[in-house]
Amino acid sequence: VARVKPRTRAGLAVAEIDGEAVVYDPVPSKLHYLNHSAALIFGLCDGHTTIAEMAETIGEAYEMDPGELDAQIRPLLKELRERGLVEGKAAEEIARAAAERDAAVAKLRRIPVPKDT
Amino acid sequence: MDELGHLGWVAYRSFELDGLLFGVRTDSADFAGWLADSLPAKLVLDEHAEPNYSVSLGGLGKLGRRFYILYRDSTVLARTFDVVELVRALLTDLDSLRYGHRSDAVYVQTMFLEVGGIDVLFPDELFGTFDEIRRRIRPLGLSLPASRFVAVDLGTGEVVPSPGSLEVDDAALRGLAELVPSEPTSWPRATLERRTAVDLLCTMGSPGPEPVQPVSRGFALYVLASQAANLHEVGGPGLKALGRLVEQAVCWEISSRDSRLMADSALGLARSIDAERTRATVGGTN
Repeated sequence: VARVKPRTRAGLAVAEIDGEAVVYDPVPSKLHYLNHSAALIFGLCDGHTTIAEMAETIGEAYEMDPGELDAQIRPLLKELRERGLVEGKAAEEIARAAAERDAAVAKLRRIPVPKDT
Repeated sequence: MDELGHLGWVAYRSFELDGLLFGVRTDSADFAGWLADSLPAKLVLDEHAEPNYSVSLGGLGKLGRRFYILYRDSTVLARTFDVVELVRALLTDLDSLRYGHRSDAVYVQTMFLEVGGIDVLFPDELFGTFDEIRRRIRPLGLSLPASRFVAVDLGTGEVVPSPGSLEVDDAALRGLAELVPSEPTSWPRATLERRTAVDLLCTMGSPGPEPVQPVSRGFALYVLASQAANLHEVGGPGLKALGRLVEQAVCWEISSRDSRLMADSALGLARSIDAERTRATVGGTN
Protein backbone atom coordinates (compact mmCIF):
# COMPACT_ATOMS: atom_id res chain seq x y z
CA VAL A 1 0.00 0.00 0.00
CA ALA A 2 1.43 3.35 -1.06
CA ARG A 3 1.99 5.73 1.82
CA VAL A 4 -0.36 8.71 1.72
CA LYS A 5 1.28 12.05 0.92
CA PRO A 6 -1.45 14.67 1.44
CA ARG A 7 -1.52 17.65 -0.88
CA THR A 8 -3.44 20.93 -0.55
CA ARG A 9 -5.98 21.55 -3.27
CA ALA A 10 -4.80 23.82 -6.08
CA GLY A 11 -6.28 27.30 -6.40
CA LEU A 12 -6.65 28.13 -2.71
CA ALA A 13 -5.52 31.52 -1.39
CA VAL A 14 -3.79 31.41 1.98
CA ALA A 15 -2.84 34.17 4.41
CA GLU A 16 -0.75 33.12 7.40
CA ILE A 17 -0.55 35.23 10.50
CA ASP A 18 1.03 34.45 13.89
CA GLY A 19 1.04 30.72 13.11
CA GLU A 20 -2.66 30.65 12.19
CA ALA A 21 -4.05 30.76 8.68
CA VAL A 22 -7.07 31.94 6.75
CA VAL A 23 -7.80 30.07 3.54
CA TYR A 24 -10.04 31.43 0.79
CA ASP A 25 -11.54 28.81 -1.47
CA PRO A 26 -12.74 30.65 -4.59
CA VAL A 27 -14.83 27.81 -5.97
CA PRO A 28 -17.62 27.81 -3.42
CA SER A 29 -16.31 31.30 -2.36
CA LYS A 30 -15.75 30.21 1.21
CA LEU A 31 -13.37 31.25 3.97
CA HIS A 32 -11.77 28.86 6.44
CA TYR A 33 -10.00 29.70 9.68
CA LEU A 34 -7.18 27.33 10.67
CA ASN A 35 -5.88 27.46 14.23
CA HIS A 36 -2.19 26.78 15.00
CA SER A 37 -2.43 22.97 14.76
CA ALA A 38 -4.53 22.93 11.61
CA ALA A 39 -2.36 25.59 9.95
CA LEU A 40 0.78 23.59 10.78
CA ILE A 41 -0.59 20.40 9.22
CA PHE A 42 -2.04 22.29 6.26
CA GLY A 43 1.40 23.80 5.59
CA LEU A 44 2.96 20.33 5.49
CA CYS A 45 0.50 19.02 2.90
CA ASP A 46 2.91 19.48 0.00
CA GLY A 47 2.29 16.16 -1.77
CA HIS A 48 5.77 14.92 -0.82
CA THR A 49 5.47 14.41 2.94
CA THR A 50 3.90 11.33 4.48
CA ILE A 51 1.88 11.48 7.68
CA ALA A 52 4.72 9.79 9.52
CA GLU A 53 7.16 12.38 8.23
CA MET A 54 4.80 15.15 9.30
CA ALA A 55 4.75 13.67 12.80
CA GLU A 56 8.55 13.50 12.82
CA THR A 57 8.95 17.10 11.63
CA ILE A 58 6.52 18.44 14.23
CA GLY A 59 7.94 16.16 16.91
CA GLU A 60 11.45 17.51 16.31
CA ALA A 61 10.29 21.13 16.30
CA TYR A 62 8.16 20.85 19.43
CA GLU A 63 10.02 18.04 21.21
CA MET A 64 7.00 15.73 21.13
CA ASP A 65 6.59 12.01 20.57
CA PRO A 66 5.91 11.37 16.83
CA GLY A 67 3.85 8.30 17.76
CA GLU A 68 1.38 10.42 19.76
CA LEU A 69 1.38 13.13 17.08
CA ASP A 70 0.38 10.66 14.39
CA ALA A 71 -2.94 10.09 16.18
CA GLN A 72 -3.54 13.84 16.36
CA ILE A 73 -2.62 14.54 12.75
CA ARG A 74 -5.02 12.04 11.20
CA PRO A 75 -8.28 13.60 12.45
CA LEU A 76 -7.03 17.05 11.47
CA LEU A 77 -6.23 15.79 7.99
CA LYS A 78 -9.65 14.19 7.80
CA GLU A 79 -11.26 17.52 8.60
CA LEU A 80 -9.09 19.36 6.04
CA ARG A 81 -10.13 16.79 3.44
CA GLU A 82 -13.79 17.11 4.37
CA ARG A 83 -13.54 20.87 3.93
CA GLY A 84 -12.03 20.30 0.50
CA LEU A 85 -8.76 22.01 1.42
CA VAL A 86 -6.66 18.88 1.01
CA GLU A 87 -7.04 16.58 -1.99
CA GLY A 88 -9.56 13.83 -1.48
CA LYS A 89 -13.17 13.01 -2.21
CA ALA A 90 -14.57 16.41 -1.16
CA ALA A 91 -11.96 18.28 -3.22
CA GLU A 92 -12.86 16.16 -6.25
CA GLU A 93 -16.56 16.92 -5.77
CA ILE A 94 -15.85 20.65 -5.45
CA ALA A 95 -13.74 20.56 -8.63
CA ARG A 96 -16.51 18.67 -10.46
CA ALA A 97 -19.18 21.13 -9.27
CA ALA A 98 -16.98 24.04 -10.37
CA ALA A 99 -16.50 22.52 -13.82
CA GLU A 100 -20.27 21.99 -14.15
CA ARG A 101 -20.94 25.55 -13.06
CA ASP A 102 -18.39 26.96 -15.53
CA ALA A 103 -19.97 24.91 -18.32
CA ALA A 104 -23.45 26.18 -17.39
CA VAL A 105 -22.22 29.81 -17.33
CA ALA A 106 -20.53 29.35 -20.72
CA LYS A 107 -23.79 27.89 -22.11
CA LEU A 108 -25.81 30.83 -20.75
CA ARG A 109 -23.40 33.27 -22.37
CA ARG A 110 -24.09 31.70 -25.74
CA ILE A 111 -27.84 32.35 -25.47
CA PRO A 112 -28.63 35.61 -27.29
CA VAL A 113 -30.48 38.16 -25.16
CA PRO A 114 -33.24 39.91 -27.12
CA LYS A 115 -33.21 43.69 -26.93
CA ASP A 116 -35.90 45.56 -25.00
CA THR A 117 -36.62 42.77 -22.56
CA MET B 1 -47.64 46.71 -2.22
CA ASP B 2 -50.86 46.29 -0.20
CA GLU B 3 -48.93 46.75 3.03
CA LEU B 4 -47.90 50.29 2.03
CA GLY B 5 -50.95 52.00 3.51
CA HIS B 6 -51.16 49.70 6.51
CA LEU B 7 -47.63 50.60 7.64
CA GLY B 8 -47.90 54.28 6.87
CA TRP B 9 -45.90 54.16 3.68
CA VAL B 10 -47.61 55.94 0.83
CA ALA B 11 -45.29 55.37 -2.10
CA TYR B 12 -42.85 52.82 -3.44
CA ARG B 13 -40.38 53.23 -6.28
CA SER B 14 -37.96 50.68 -7.67
CA PHE B 15 -34.75 51.55 -9.50
CA GLU B 16 -31.95 49.95 -11.43
CA LEU B 17 -28.33 50.97 -11.04
CA ASP B 18 -25.74 49.25 -13.24
CA GLY B 19 -27.96 46.18 -13.46
CA LEU B 20 -28.63 46.10 -9.70
CA LEU B 21 -32.16 46.58 -8.45
CA PHE B 22 -33.28 48.32 -5.30
CA GLY B 23 -36.53 49.70 -3.95
CA VAL B 24 -37.42 52.74 -1.83
CA ARG B 25 -40.66 53.19 0.09
CA THR B 26 -41.55 56.39 1.84
CA ASP B 27 -44.29 58.10 3.78
CA SER B 28 -44.10 61.15 1.50
CA ALA B 29 -45.51 61.14 -2.02
CA ASP B 30 -43.57 64.36 -2.72
CA PHE B 31 -40.30 62.74 -1.75
CA ALA B 32 -41.08 59.70 -3.88
CA GLY B 33 -41.64 62.00 -6.84
CA TRP B 34 -38.41 63.85 -6.14
CA LEU B 35 -36.50 60.55 -5.96
CA ALA B 36 -37.92 59.40 -9.28
CA ASP B 37 -36.80 62.66 -10.90
CA SER B 38 -33.45 63.15 -9.20
CA LEU B 39 -31.85 59.87 -8.17
CA PRO B 40 -29.00 58.89 -10.52
CA ALA B 41 -30.64 55.53 -11.19
CA LYS B 42 -33.18 54.26 -13.70
CA LEU B 43 -36.78 54.05 -12.54
CA VAL B 44 -38.13 50.55 -13.16
CA LEU B 45 -41.23 48.59 -12.23
CA ASP B 46 -40.33 45.79 -9.87
CA GLU B 47 -42.21 45.26 -6.65
CA HIS B 48 -39.69 42.80 -5.31
CA ALA B 49 -36.47 44.76 -5.82
CA GLU B 50 -33.93 44.29 -3.05
CA PRO B 51 -32.48 45.77 -0.95
CA ASN B 52 -35.38 47.78 0.29
CA TYR B 53 -34.77 51.25 1.60
CA SER B 54 -37.38 53.05 3.69
CA VAL B 55 -37.46 56.78 4.16
CA SER B 56 -39.56 58.16 6.99
CA LEU B 57 -40.09 61.90 6.83
CA GLY B 58 -42.98 62.11 9.26
CA GLY B 59 -41.16 61.97 12.60
CA LEU B 60 -41.45 64.72 15.21
CA GLY B 61 -38.80 65.04 17.90
CA LYS B 62 -39.30 66.01 21.56
CA LEU B 63 -39.01 69.70 20.80
CA GLY B 64 -41.31 69.49 17.82
CA ARG B 65 -38.41 69.37 15.37
CA ARG B 66 -39.02 67.24 12.34
CA PHE B 67 -36.57 64.38 11.90
CA TYR B 68 -35.98 61.94 9.11
CA ILE B 69 -34.87 58.32 9.11
CA LEU B 70 -33.35 56.18 6.37
CA TYR B 71 -33.44 52.42 6.78
CA ARG B 72 -31.90 49.70 4.67
CA ASP B 73 -34.20 46.80 5.42
CA SER B 74 -34.32 47.03 9.24
CA THR B 75 -30.96 48.79 9.72
CA VAL B 76 -30.98 52.51 10.44
CA LEU B 77 -28.54 54.26 8.09
CA ALA B 78 -29.35 57.83 9.06
CA ARG B 79 -31.43 59.61 11.65
CA THR B 80 -31.23 63.33 11.00
CA PHE B 81 -32.94 66.72 10.91
CA ASP B 82 -31.26 67.34 7.56
CA VAL B 83 -32.97 65.77 4.56
CA VAL B 84 -29.91 66.42 2.38
CA GLU B 85 -27.80 64.39 4.82
CA LEU B 86 -30.36 61.61 4.47
CA VAL B 87 -30.09 61.70 0.67
CA ARG B 88 -26.29 61.62 0.88
CA ALA B 89 -26.51 58.59 3.17
CA LEU B 90 -28.72 56.90 0.59
CA LEU B 91 -26.26 57.68 -2.21
CA THR B 92 -23.34 56.38 -0.13
CA ASP B 93 -25.15 53.14 0.54
CA LEU B 94 -26.17 52.78 -3.11
CA ASP B 95 -22.50 53.10 -4.01
CA SER B 96 -21.79 50.11 -1.79
CA LEU B 97 -24.19 47.95 -3.84
CA ARG B 98 -21.59 48.03 -6.62
CA TYR B 99 -18.58 47.08 -4.49
CA GLY B 100 -19.20 43.40 -5.17
CA HIS B 101 -18.20 43.95 -8.81
CA ARG B 102 -15.09 46.03 -8.19
CA SER B 103 -11.51 44.81 -8.15
CA ASP B 104 -9.53 48.02 -7.49
CA ALA B 105 -9.47 47.51 -3.69
CA VAL B 106 -10.97 45.21 -1.08
CA TYR B 107 -14.29 46.65 0.05
CA VAL B 108 -15.07 45.61 3.58
CA GLN B 109 -18.25 46.20 5.53
CA THR B 110 -16.76 47.78 8.61
CA MET B 111 -16.73 51.28 9.98
CA PHE B 112 -13.68 53.55 10.16
CA LEU B 113 -13.42 55.95 13.06
CA GLU B 114 -10.56 58.04 14.38
CA VAL B 115 -10.61 58.06 18.17
CA GLY B 116 -8.00 60.46 19.52
CA GLY B 117 -4.92 59.52 17.55
CA ILE B 118 -6.05 55.94 16.97
CA ASP B 119 -7.44 54.71 13.67
CA VAL B 120 -10.03 52.07 14.40
CA LEU B 121 -12.25 49.70 12.48
CA PHE B 122 -15.47 49.00 14.33
CA PRO B 123 -18.09 46.40 13.36
CA ASP B 124 -20.69 48.01 11.17
CA GLU B 125 -23.35 46.67 13.53
CA LEU B 126 -22.47 49.70 15.67
CA PHE B 127 -23.27 52.16 12.87
CA GLY B 128 -26.83 52.76 14.04
CA THR B 129 -25.86 52.74 17.72
CA PHE B 130 -23.21 55.42 17.27
CA ASP B 131 -25.86 57.45 15.49
CA GLU B 132 -28.24 57.02 18.44
CA ILE B 133 -25.65 58.15 20.97
CA ARG B 134 -24.17 60.89 18.84
CA ARG B 135 -24.97 63.53 21.47
CA ARG B 136 -22.81 61.62 23.94
CA ILE B 137 -19.92 60.91 21.62
CA ARG B 138 -19.81 64.27 19.87
CA PRO B 139 -17.96 65.94 22.79
CA LEU B 140 -15.25 63.29 22.33
CA GLY B 141 -14.35 64.99 19.06
CA LEU B 142 -15.47 62.08 16.93
CA SER B 143 -17.01 62.35 13.50
CA LEU B 144 -19.20 59.46 12.47
CA PRO B 145 -18.28 57.96 9.13
CA ALA B 146 -20.44 58.51 6.07
CA SER B 147 -20.02 54.93 4.92
CA ARG B 148 -20.41 51.49 6.46
CA PHE B 149 -17.61 50.26 4.18
CA VAL B 150 -13.89 50.88 3.88
CA ALA B 151 -11.64 50.39 0.89
CA VAL B 152 -8.39 48.53 1.59
CA ASP B 153 -5.41 49.04 -0.70
CA LEU B 154 -4.46 45.79 -2.43
CA GLY B 155 -0.75 46.55 -2.17
CA THR B 156 -0.27 47.95 1.31
CA GLY B 157 -3.29 46.85 3.32
CA GLU B 158 -3.93 50.47 4.26
CA VAL B 159 -7.44 51.87 4.43
CA VAL B 160 -7.73 54.37 1.58
CA PRO B 161 -10.20 57.07 0.55
CA SER B 162 -13.00 55.85 -1.65
CA PRO B 163 -14.90 58.85 -2.99
CA GLY B 164 -18.55 58.26 -3.78
CA SER B 165 -19.44 58.11 -7.43
CA LEU B 166 -23.15 58.94 -7.19
CA GLU B 167 -24.31 62.51 -6.96
CA VAL B 168 -27.46 64.55 -7.08
CA ASP B 169 -27.03 68.00 -8.58
CA ASP B 170 -27.30 71.12 -6.45
CA ALA B 171 -30.46 72.36 -8.16
CA ALA B 172 -32.24 69.12 -7.30
CA LEU B 173 -31.07 69.35 -3.68
CA ARG B 174 -32.37 72.93 -3.49
CA GLY B 175 -35.67 71.67 -4.87
CA LEU B 176 -35.77 69.01 -2.17
CA ALA B 177 -35.18 71.61 0.53
CA GLU B 178 -38.27 73.44 -0.75
CA LEU B 179 -40.34 70.26 -0.63
CA VAL B 180 -39.21 69.05 2.79
CA PRO B 181 -38.51 71.41 5.70
CA SER B 182 -35.00 70.71 6.88
CA GLU B 183 -32.25 71.93 9.20
CA PRO B 184 -28.69 71.67 7.86
CA THR B 185 -26.70 69.33 10.06
CA SER B 186 -24.11 70.89 12.31
CA TRP B 187 -22.19 67.64 12.58
CA PRO B 188 -21.62 66.27 9.11
CA ARG B 189 -20.49 62.71 8.65
CA ALA B 190 -16.84 62.23 7.78
CA THR B 191 -15.34 60.73 4.67
CA LEU B 192 -11.81 59.39 4.85
CA GLU B 193 -9.40 61.73 3.10
CA ARG B 194 -6.08 60.06 3.82
CA ARG B 195 -4.63 56.59 3.56
CA THR B 196 -3.81 55.00 6.87
CA ALA B 197 -2.81 51.79 8.61
CA VAL B 198 -5.35 50.55 11.13
CA ASP B 199 -4.24 50.63 14.78
CA LEU B 200 -7.17 48.82 16.35
CA LEU B 201 -9.45 46.27 14.73
CA CYS B 202 -12.66 45.46 16.59
CA THR B 203 -14.77 42.58 15.31
CA MET B 204 -18.02 41.09 16.55
CA GLY B 205 -17.56 37.99 18.69
CA SER B 206 -19.77 35.48 20.45
CA PRO B 207 -21.50 36.66 23.61
CA GLY B 208 -19.16 36.40 26.58
CA PRO B 209 -18.74 37.54 30.17
CA GLU B 210 -16.65 40.59 29.21
CA PRO B 211 -17.97 43.20 26.77
CA VAL B 212 -14.64 43.16 24.91
CA GLN B 213 -11.82 40.65 24.81
CA PRO B 214 -8.60 40.20 22.86
CA VAL B 215 -8.72 37.93 19.84
CA SER B 216 -5.98 36.35 17.76
CA ARG B 217 -4.97 38.14 14.58
CA GLY B 218 -5.72 35.01 12.59
CA PHE B 219 -9.30 34.89 13.76
CA ALA B 220 -9.69 38.66 13.35
CA LEU B 221 -8.51 38.28 9.76
CA TYR B 222 -11.08 35.53 9.20
CA VAL B 223 -13.90 37.73 10.51
CA LEU B 224 -12.71 40.78 8.57
CA ALA B 225 -12.37 38.80 5.34
CA SER B 226 -15.89 37.44 5.88
CA GLN B 227 -17.09 41.05 5.73
CA ALA B 228 -15.46 41.73 2.35
CA ALA B 229 -17.96 42.45 -0.40
CA ASN B 230 -15.68 41.53 -3.29
CA LEU B 231 -13.30 38.79 -2.15
CA HIS B 232 -14.50 36.71 -5.11
CA GLU B 233 -13.16 39.50 -7.36
CA VAL B 234 -9.85 40.21 -5.63
CA GLY B 235 -9.10 36.65 -4.43
CA GLY B 236 -5.65 35.89 -3.03
CA PRO B 237 -4.21 39.43 -3.35
CA GLY B 238 -7.27 40.72 -1.51
CA LEU B 239 -6.84 38.24 1.32
CA LYS B 240 -3.12 39.09 1.58
CA ALA B 241 -3.99 42.81 1.72
CA LEU B 242 -6.35 42.18 4.62
CA GLY B 243 -3.60 40.12 6.24
CA ARG B 244 -1.28 43.12 6.03
CA LEU B 245 -3.96 45.32 7.58
CA VAL B 246 -4.45 42.92 10.48
CA GLU B 247 -0.69 42.43 11.04
CA GLN B 248 -0.35 46.09 11.98
CA ALA B 249 -3.39 46.20 14.26
CA VAL B 250 -4.26 45.30 17.81
CA CYS B 251 -7.27 42.98 17.58
CA TRP B 252 -10.21 42.76 19.98
CA GLU B 253 -13.67 41.34 19.68
CA ILE B 254 -16.87 42.76 21.07
CA SER B 255 -18.77 40.14 23.02
CA SER B 256 -21.69 42.13 24.35
CA ARG B 257 -25.09 42.13 22.70
CA ASP B 258 -26.16 45.37 24.37
CA SER B 259 -25.58 47.89 21.62
CA ARG B 260 -24.84 50.84 23.88
CA LEU B 261 -22.49 48.82 26.08
CA MET B 262 -20.83 47.61 22.90
CA ALA B 263 -20.31 51.13 21.63
CA ASP B 264 -19.04 52.43 24.98
CA SER B 265 -16.68 49.47 25.42
CA ALA B 266 -15.29 49.83 21.92
CA LEU B 267 -14.70 53.54 22.36
CA GLY B 268 -13.15 52.94 25.80
CA LEU B 269 -10.79 50.42 24.26
CA ALA B 270 -9.64 52.88 21.61
CA ARG B 271 -9.12 55.59 24.19
CA SER B 272 -7.08 53.29 26.43
CA ILE B 273 -4.84 52.34 23.51
CA ASP B 274 -4.43 56.01 22.67
CA ALA B 275 -3.48 56.78 26.29
CA GLU B 276 -1.07 53.83 26.38
CA ARG B 277 0.59 55.01 23.20
CA THR B 278 0.87 58.56 24.55
CA ARG B 279 2.50 57.24 27.74
CA ALA B 280 4.94 55.16 25.68
CA THR B 281 5.82 58.15 23.51
CA VAL B 282 6.35 60.41 26.50
CA GLY B 283 8.38 57.69 28.23
CA GLY B 284 10.45 57.20 25.11
CA THR B 285 11.37 60.83 24.83
CA ASN B 286 12.44 61.20 28.47
